[in-house]
Amino acid sequence: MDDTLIGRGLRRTSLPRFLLWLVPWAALLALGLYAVYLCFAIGLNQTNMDNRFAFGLWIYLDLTVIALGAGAFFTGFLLYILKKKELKAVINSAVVIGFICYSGAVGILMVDVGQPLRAWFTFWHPNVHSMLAEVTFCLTLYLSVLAIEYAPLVLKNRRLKEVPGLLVLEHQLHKVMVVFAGIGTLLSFFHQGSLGGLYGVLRGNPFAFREHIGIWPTTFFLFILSAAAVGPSFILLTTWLVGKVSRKRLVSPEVFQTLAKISGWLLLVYVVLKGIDSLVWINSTSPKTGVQVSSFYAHPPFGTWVLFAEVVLLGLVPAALLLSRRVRARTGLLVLAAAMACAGIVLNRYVMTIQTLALPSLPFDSFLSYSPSWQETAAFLAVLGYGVLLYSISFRWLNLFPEERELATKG
Amino acid sequence: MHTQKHTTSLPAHRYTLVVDLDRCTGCGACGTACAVENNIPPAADKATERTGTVWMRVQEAAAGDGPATFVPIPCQQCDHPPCVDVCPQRAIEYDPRTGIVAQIPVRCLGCRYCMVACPYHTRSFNWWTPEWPEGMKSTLNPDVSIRTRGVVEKCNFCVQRLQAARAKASAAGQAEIDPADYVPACVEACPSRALSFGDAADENGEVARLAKDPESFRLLAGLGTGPKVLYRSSDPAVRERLSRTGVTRG
Amino acid sequence: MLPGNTDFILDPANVIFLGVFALVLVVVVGTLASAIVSARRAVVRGQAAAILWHEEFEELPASARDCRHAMTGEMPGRRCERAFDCKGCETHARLLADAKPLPAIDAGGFFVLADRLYHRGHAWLKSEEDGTVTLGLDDLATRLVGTPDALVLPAVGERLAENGPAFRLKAGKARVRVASPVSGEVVETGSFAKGFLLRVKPDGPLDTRALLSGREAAAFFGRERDRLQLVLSAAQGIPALADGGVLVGDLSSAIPEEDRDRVLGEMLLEA
Repeated sequence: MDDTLIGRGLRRTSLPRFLLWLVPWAALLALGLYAVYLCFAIGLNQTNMDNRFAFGLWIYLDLTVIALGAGAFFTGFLLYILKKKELKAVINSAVVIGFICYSGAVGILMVDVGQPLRAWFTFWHPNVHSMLAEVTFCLTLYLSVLAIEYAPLVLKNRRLKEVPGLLVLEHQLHKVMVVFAGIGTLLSFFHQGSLGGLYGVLRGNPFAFREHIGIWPTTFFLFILSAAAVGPSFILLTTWLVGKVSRKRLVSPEVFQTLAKISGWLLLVYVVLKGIDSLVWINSTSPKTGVQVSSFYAHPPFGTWVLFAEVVLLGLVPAALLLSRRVRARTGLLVLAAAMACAGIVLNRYVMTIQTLALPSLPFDSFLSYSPSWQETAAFLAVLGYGVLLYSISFRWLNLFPEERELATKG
Repeated sequence: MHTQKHTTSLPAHRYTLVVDLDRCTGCGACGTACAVENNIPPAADKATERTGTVWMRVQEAAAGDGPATFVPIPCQQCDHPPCVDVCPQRAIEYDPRTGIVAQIPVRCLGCRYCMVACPYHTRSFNWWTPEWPEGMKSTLNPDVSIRTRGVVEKCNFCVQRLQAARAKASAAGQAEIDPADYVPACVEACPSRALSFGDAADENGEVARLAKDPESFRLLAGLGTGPKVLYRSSDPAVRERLSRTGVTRG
Repeated sequence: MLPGNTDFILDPANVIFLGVFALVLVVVVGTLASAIVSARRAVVRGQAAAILWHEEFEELPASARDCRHAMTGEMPGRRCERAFDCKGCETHARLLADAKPLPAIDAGGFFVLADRLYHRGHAWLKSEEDGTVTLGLDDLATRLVGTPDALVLPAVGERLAENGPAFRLKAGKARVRVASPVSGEVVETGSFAKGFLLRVKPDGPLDTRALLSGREAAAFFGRERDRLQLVLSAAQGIPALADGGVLVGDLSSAIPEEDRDRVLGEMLLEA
């Protein structure tokens, strides 16, 4: 029924079945929007955050999806600047995923702040020394760049490209895409870092505080590196997942190899640097304030196993796996390694956002716990629903995987 | 309160609160007086001790077997405030003339980054819309603006009283305020006289003398925040316990 | 410094920070604006069809891009990089000047007429005595389409652009355009029965250097038959094009329904 919207040579499921697939995700989105409405109408008391746990699930979610969505800028950098042509096969999908991650994060941020209508204050009264101001500026600009990178995909839709003006616009945008890829890389470098900087500058919190290189704490650089490392793995993971769900071959195997190798090397470098940073923190940075690092891990369930899991189990191990040719030869193991790499970063962001706040700071404070309210969880799931909806529609009507048609005809 | 860059020959003041832990009974009169003076709204029905708005918090520091110590903890008015550095909108300002860290509620976005940055946890967020029961609005202090839902607030060392003192001094043609005219509400209200207030920059003053006294200490001094709340106790065990940085067990 | 912003001063940190962001914003907006302006200019100058043709060409698989001189055996294996713009091609000009006798090549079972010129997208053009040209669909495409469900011709008075859409066809699940060999104004519409589909008054003197004729066209059809076999081989249930060496008469019935759109699109050079 919507054949004219589906790209030539691509096979997609029937429209009724597609709409059926969209239903549960739309339901998630609807439920989440209701939770958001409650937060706007009644207030942030609808969440389980409080004066001690001022950041909760949403900030954790923001940091995590932005790290995972780094695949968009990094693939763009590898393709347009380093000219790794094989990544043409996944750049479109990466841009869509990046757009989903960043628009979802910004949406959640608007609910998280107490006065979203005052969001422009950061631009008019900026505190340039604040990491959060830097994040605000960068995210806003980067989301615009992502939208500009998304536009050509839409303009190349089979029906839309028959409008002469639109295809010509797409052609012109494509000619200057390297500019946007470069700007995207620059902006991403800074905001990925500043998200790490949010915690590394906290002088009042020895768990989070790190030594500075120039004006930037080491977490600035570690976050950039971990985001660049996990980006390709997340692209690999999502491409495999979409291929499984749609039962199609979307990319040639070489693409997975390239993504895995890049991810593996970056992850290895990250793990080494994180290890060094942790040693400095344990032996110097924290003790200088009078607090021993062992005290941070004295509260179950946050034992030292957390640090071990983050750096070794979900850091060094997936790096080694991704770099092993034998592992890469077997898709199942490769996908597992990529998933472990992503899980490591997910855990790292959790530790930074949640463990930091749970730990007591005053000597007579207690260890705190927090679990999100249903409204917070629903809002988070709304982002997931929105993401699957937008991606599914893009997959159906846009040419997300340029190699798909050729792979389908090869049989 | 905006920081004005202007030339003045007046020396910078370091207004400091002194808390005598030996005298504090944990009665909470300071917190109540603060709430009345600063238009803190009554707690919402579902508010808890972690979601209610409190500018002067009195926290119990348990001592194992011995008697507990009650610790009044307002904003510590740090000389190197972590909160000022992190606010993206410059909604918090440190006044170098007085040392007071002032919150600007009309500029606050409600991002709560300052609350994460403050190691003393003296900041409150308006999780509910402030509401006063019928008639209670006539008891509001006209010198203090009321805040909206979704912004952060905290103790400002009753800076409105400082402004009133300055107005009085300038009307009388004096360059400096009379220290007796600037006393925060909590200090005024404390029945056991555990709280006192003064200018640490005044070398001849009481606060400057107490700051050098071995029975005085500050909270989390090792973090380098430079708090301007001075705690005192004659009990060395209390001093040792409370002046530590961080906790060794949960 | 700014209205309502009394406490903001332009110290070095602020200047660097805001300066960098202003610069990035200017670059992003400027680049986007330049792309939009260039696009508008291209549309106004009538370059849209040429751009569309180039974009479609980029999406074609390699097998569709054989150079006309590869088909005749003059330069075997050569692929076109110029979207079949033979007018501007130096190699083509050189080979034309050399004018060696072309070896004869089987037309692959298709009917090639000597009095007309053939476009790579399977439309033909015939110059008429009154200065107009007639356009139609060549033998391969006609047999591939079979009896179309709908033939959407432009109205009299409408303008065609060279390599732009001339007319559209609907056959089963296929929806495809046929590219025009010439730029001009439609003066008459025809039908399959009439022997032509459109009569066009060309813009200016006719330049047919990008069109194939005679032996070259015969070679083209031979190569297109091979390409058709390739395109069909990816379909569900590989159909047989030839039965004992003789081409199947009704080609359209040999195509599985789900593949009709893809097959027609590939043969008529629409991605």
